[in-house]
Amino acid sequence: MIGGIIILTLFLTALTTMVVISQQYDAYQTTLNAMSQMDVERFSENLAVTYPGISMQPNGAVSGCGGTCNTYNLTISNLSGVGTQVARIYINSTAPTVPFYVLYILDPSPTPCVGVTSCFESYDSFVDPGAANHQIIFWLSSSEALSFSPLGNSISIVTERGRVFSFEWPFPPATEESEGPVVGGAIVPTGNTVDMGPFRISYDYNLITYTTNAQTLPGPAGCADSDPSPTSCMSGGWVFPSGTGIVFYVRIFNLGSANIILLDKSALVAHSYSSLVTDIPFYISGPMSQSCWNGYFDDPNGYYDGSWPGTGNCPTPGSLAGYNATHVACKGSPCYVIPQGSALGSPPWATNEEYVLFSANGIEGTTANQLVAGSRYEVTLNLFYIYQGSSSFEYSIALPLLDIST
Amino acid sequence: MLSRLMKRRARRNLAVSTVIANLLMITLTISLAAILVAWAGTSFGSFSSGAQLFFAQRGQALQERFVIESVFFKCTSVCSTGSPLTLMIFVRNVGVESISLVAIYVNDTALQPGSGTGLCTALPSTIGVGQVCEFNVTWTSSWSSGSLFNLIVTSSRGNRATFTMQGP
Repeated sequence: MIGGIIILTLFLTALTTMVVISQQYDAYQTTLNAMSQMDVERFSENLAVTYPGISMQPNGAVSGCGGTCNTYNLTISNLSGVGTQVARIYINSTAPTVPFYVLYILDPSPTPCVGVTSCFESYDSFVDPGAANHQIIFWLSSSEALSFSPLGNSISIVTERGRVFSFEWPFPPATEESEGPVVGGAIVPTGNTVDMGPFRISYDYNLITYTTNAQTLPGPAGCADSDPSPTSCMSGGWVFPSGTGIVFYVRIFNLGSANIILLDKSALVAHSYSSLVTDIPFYISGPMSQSCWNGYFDDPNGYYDGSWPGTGNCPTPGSLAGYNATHVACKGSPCYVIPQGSALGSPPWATNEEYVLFSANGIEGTTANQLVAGSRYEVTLNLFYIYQGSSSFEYSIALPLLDIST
Repeated sequence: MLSRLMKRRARRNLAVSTVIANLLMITLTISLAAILVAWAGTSFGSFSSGAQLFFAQRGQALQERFVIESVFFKCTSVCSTGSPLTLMIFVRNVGVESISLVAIYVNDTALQPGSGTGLCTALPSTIGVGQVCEFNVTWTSSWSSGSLFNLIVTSSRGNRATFTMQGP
């Protein structure tokens, strides 16, 4: 009997221990499952900033921020199936000089920024699952403007679950398509855009026009097929005249916050598909005159619409001016300065455009180059430039631009 | 005479009585049982409390979540190679337990946060659930423009958050 009691006591002691440990293990597993669920939800979050990213409300000045605030919209989409609470927004201006080297910390606030110089609307902080183009209103002190530099504002959206979604702004979209001008009764699609550094190339109907001695006003290139859309021209090849001097007018946008000065090494280079024809460079030439330039603004959208004023005085191969620039300043006058983007980075981009002329057969040359008859070329755009007035750095981009034929 | 001798022999052969013998055996058994039960109880108890502590600590560590949500480089003048560099480090507690941060490493070098208004100015530093803490640490070693900085923040429970960023 005593032995039985002893065995029973030992059994109960072991059982109690096992029960206690099991309870602890269960509690641990419960915690583990709960945290795993949190992690699943956390990693399910997926916010994407959609175009235009940040825009300023034109009449959005309100009191607050220790004085007056400017009102901005941040456009985001929630691509996930879980609701997301935005806890904080960081705007990290990474321009290299101190006045632009600032950090804005935006916390939620129901009213425009009391006691701080930046905040965002707390009512906008929750983004529903699948919400598209959700607007978050935020305020910055009027004395602090966002830097519009391609070097970037690094913007981080922090969620309550601890995810950080970062993007660079301004960020022009990789592609943008909208309705273009009417040509021959048909709407010409504007096509896509390509952004490289501070430059934007828009593949629309007037991306590239030209003059010859026979065509003294810039006109659009022909197409290998009857459809004048850039896409079709791209597939069939844009057609340019051969055996005669030619001046290309290429439209370029500046998305940066500083002027761009193009250098005289810039060129369009036509690379022949035939090994028998060498590459043909068309170096940058002197800019068009003001009367010619104004013609491009004849249409409110900046498109060539056929109603050319006729007083263009536009450069042709016979009136070609050499282009001469240094890293510091242009020796010739005027030099190519592509104006900076608007301070807020908002459309219309047309205010930042420039038609750049390419023609010369040599750097700073005044003789127009020619295409060879019966050839097909891939044309690359090679731009050398200085930015922000810095003479210390010279930048360049190269872009396969067009497929053309003669 | 014979009767006296037999009595003396019989008395010499009786060690303890049956009752005494039984009592001795019971006492001995109970003593050994007590020792065994005590040993088993201690062993099981310590095992149980050890496991309890293990699971409790693991559970707390498991509930700890913190992230380095942003790092900002602050220069006294133009950010140029080799100039003094202050790293503003923002750490958010996104778990369900308060955390205690005990160390900050930048490129494997332990740094102490500097003073400032509204900052977490010392280590260890406790951050409540959902709160964010800003540490300012100064990088005095050499650096070059565009170089990478590897940042590690560790908690007292052994968790850590890492962040890699490119310098100005």
